[in-house]
Amino acid sequence: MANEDGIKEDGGFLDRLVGGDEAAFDAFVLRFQRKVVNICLRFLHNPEDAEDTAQDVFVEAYRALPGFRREAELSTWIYRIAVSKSLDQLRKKKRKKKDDGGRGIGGEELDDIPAGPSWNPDRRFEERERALALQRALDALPEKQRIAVTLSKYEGLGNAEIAAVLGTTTVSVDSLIYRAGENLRRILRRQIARRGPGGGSR
Amino acid sequence: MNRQNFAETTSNPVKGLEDRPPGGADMNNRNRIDREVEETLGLLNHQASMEESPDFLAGVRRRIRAGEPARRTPALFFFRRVVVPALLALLVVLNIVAAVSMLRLRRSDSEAKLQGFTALAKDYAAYQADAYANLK
Repeated sequence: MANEDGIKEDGGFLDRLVGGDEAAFDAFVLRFQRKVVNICLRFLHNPEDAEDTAQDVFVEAYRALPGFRREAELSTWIYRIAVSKSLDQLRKKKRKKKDDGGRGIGGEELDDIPAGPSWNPDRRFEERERALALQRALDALPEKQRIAVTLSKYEGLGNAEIAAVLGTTTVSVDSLIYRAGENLRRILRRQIARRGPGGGSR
Repeated sequence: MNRQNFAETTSNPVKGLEDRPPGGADMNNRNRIDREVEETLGLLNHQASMEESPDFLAGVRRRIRAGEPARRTPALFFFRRVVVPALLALLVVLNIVAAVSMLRLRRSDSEAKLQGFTALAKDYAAYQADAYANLK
């Protein structure tokens, strides 16, 4: 049987993967690399950090594969590691910034935020400001809401997959996404009201 | 719930009223804020994603190798898996032998001391007996 990511999760492939077959592991990395890197990017907002963390995700997966119990889908399993590693990395960054007495997360990473497709400099600046505002609003969400909305909106995962990643039910995921939307609106409304018409976000 | 219906399903204009700017902001201002909020939320569905790096897999392999040097180098593997455990086992055996020898030595030493003391006591008793006989 092939899952939605196109990788054959039949017994033979899993046996080879769990048994330490290098070719099977390479196929596994190539299959999930893009998704894992992007999940890390959504949490870390920095391409270098995202790739670095994603490589750690696969190293951890390599070590944990002999104990893979096959109760979960391979994709869900690797996404769960990716989310967990990204959040760990984010906490480390926050701690480091706190220790340095530095600025809040995101301030110096404005250049790393994708600005959208516009060629107009004013428009590009506006899009970048919006992306930054959205990033800040997402960062301010409770952890589970943030994971749910990130996996759903950015990565297009279904509620069942998100429920498996979070270890909860699809009903709970529905609720998390709904509350995330409400909270995002509230936070953005405050940010925009404080900024005033046509002003910058800082 | 999918990407498309996020805005509709999470929008609740009544619930959001208390979060709007204080001081009786006019309708235009509210509309502008609502529009900006929706445009910003719209970015959720249009964020650019990273392309696959050609060196990614090589990087993963490098990290795996770096984390397991002993498994990759036969000499190190032999040292860590054979030599070190053998040396540790030898050390434990030697310690046990040394402890047993020490106990035996002490035991024989104390037995010898006891025998010497008994002999001394007998000699002394004999001496006392001789001395007493001579006095008589």
